[in-house]
Amino acid sequence: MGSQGLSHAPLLLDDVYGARERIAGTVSRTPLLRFNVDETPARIFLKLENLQPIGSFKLRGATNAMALVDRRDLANGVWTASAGNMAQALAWVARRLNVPCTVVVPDHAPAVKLEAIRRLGAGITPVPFAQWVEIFRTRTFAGLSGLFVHPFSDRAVMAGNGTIALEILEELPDVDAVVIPYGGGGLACGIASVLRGLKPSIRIYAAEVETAAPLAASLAAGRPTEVRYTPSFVDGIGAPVVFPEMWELACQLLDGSIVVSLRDVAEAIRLLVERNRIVAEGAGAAPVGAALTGSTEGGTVVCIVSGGNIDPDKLAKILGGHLP
Amino acid sequence: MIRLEDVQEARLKIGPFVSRTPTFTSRTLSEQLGTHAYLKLEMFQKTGSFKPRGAFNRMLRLTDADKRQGVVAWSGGNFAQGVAYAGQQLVIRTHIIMPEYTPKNYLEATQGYGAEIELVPSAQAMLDEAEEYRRRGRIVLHPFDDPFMMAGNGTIGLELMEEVPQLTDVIVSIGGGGLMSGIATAIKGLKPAVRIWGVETEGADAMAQSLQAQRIVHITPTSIARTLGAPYVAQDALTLAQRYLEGVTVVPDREAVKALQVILERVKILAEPAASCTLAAAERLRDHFGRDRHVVLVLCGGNISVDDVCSFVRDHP
Repeated sequence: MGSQGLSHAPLLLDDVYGARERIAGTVSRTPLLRFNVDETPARIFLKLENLQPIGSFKLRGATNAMALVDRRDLANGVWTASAGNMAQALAWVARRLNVPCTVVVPDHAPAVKLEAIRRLGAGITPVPFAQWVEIFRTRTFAGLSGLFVHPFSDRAVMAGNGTIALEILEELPDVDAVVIPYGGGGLACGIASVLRGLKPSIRIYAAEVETAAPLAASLAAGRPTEVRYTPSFVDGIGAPVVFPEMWELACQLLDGSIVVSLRDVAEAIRLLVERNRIVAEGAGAAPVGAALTGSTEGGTVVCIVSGGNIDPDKLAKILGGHLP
Repeated sequence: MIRLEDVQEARLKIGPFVSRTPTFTSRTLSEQLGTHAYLKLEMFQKTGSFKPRGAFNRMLRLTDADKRQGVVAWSGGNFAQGVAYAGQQLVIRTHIIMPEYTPKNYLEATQGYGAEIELVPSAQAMLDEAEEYRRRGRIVLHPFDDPFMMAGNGTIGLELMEEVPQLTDVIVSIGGGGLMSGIATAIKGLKPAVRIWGVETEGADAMAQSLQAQRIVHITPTSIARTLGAPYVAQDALTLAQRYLEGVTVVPDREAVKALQVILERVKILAEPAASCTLAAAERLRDHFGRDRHVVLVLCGGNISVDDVCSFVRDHP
């Protein structure tokens, strides 16, 4: 899976300040809350992106990407490849702007997720998985001519994500470390770009799940490395590979990847409900699980709770002490 | 009767001990209600409800002799945790009388903060026992009919005026009236044009009944919103309600449960029925709002166990 030589120049702070202005009326400035558990390895804070409309940080990138394009150029609509949060985010923004939206989904995507996308007014095109994955590389799909918003490998999307870092630094300037779930890398690289620019000494960690941790493997090997991927209830992150153009950014910007078990993630989800009264999905809880391992070292650590879109029955199982 | 100055003074006093909770602009609920909707997230307060604000303001006034004696409190809900937590932080012994049927999560949390718990068979037994301690000269804290509690609660109003200066409406739930009293005093003291809407649930509507009768009416609470289940409202609360409230909206438990689900599924926050009822009321009051108004829903707490959430949803389809 080549990248056709695509390379992302590092994000500029101006890109992110611009994104902030563009998304201000649409996207929520989310709370930064102390994790309500005593005796943790560090002072842990939670950046609650699960409170965004549609329950995910993806709204920031989707909004910025669409805002950068002239209204006339949106006449052909927008589209993306996602079965999850980017699909909902793009559909939500498109509906607000009265722009047609199409989402290309893998044909095994759960009905519940498709229903959520449909309710937001987007059209759905199911395709076989192999074909779907190709879209991340080619950024094209037969018959779709509108603006393609890549879920992660896109400067405008990453700039939108980077606005999270601005908010953190404003509210908690003495932050020592940040832990960010790593799926495609758009969130981690967007946030890390800003943090490196404004507070170079800060420690920045990716959080991955043991069932699919390609970044950790790649960092250990010193080059993009494919891993075996096992599906789990953590469906927002976890891929067999690190995309090459994201790898370049990630290895420059991040200090490492902390890999947690499914049990760690489930425990974090449970604690977040019971102690902080918030709902996080697996990907959103992974950074908290990572911080609880002590691998971030001490000081003030902010965990990006990236989203809250977890199936109610999976949540119920986890709260009952089981692994879905 | 408390005044704005009492709330402002309370803020200085309790500042080091309580959290300043976020006021979150909810685009989801704004769309749903057709207005600008904001959520004051008191479930993020220490102990999971707003009660520490009043508890600290009261307990910080105790003399050294009082502190050595320790305090007695009675509560089937959030006040117990508020007092227990304040006692732990201020190193004051707390003895809390609670009904036997208090949910396990409340009992465990209260004990977790180091309080001594005394279980009694009923709400009436709780009041009788409290009265007995008072007779014997112990300091007994009232959960809501106390000017220091009300002033402490009112600090929420001060925060709202700063966080949402364009505020036009506040929706607040009423148990004994302590929260409403503080918030109304603060907000009306600073911006009289703001409209304040009270909310209760069916089976916990002491204020609505008292406003109707124009005197304190005693009720037997039956609502699942247990933390709204005060048997009566404070006299000062009734006076302030008559003076300041646009009205009291009484919603059925079923609507409070539905609203809880909406907040859980769409905002990803766990609010207890005593808090989610404000959303149910906002739905009923939506014609009073609209695109030009800025409406804050005070979500007073999130102390509900997961088991209770499941059973409420099951029992109120």
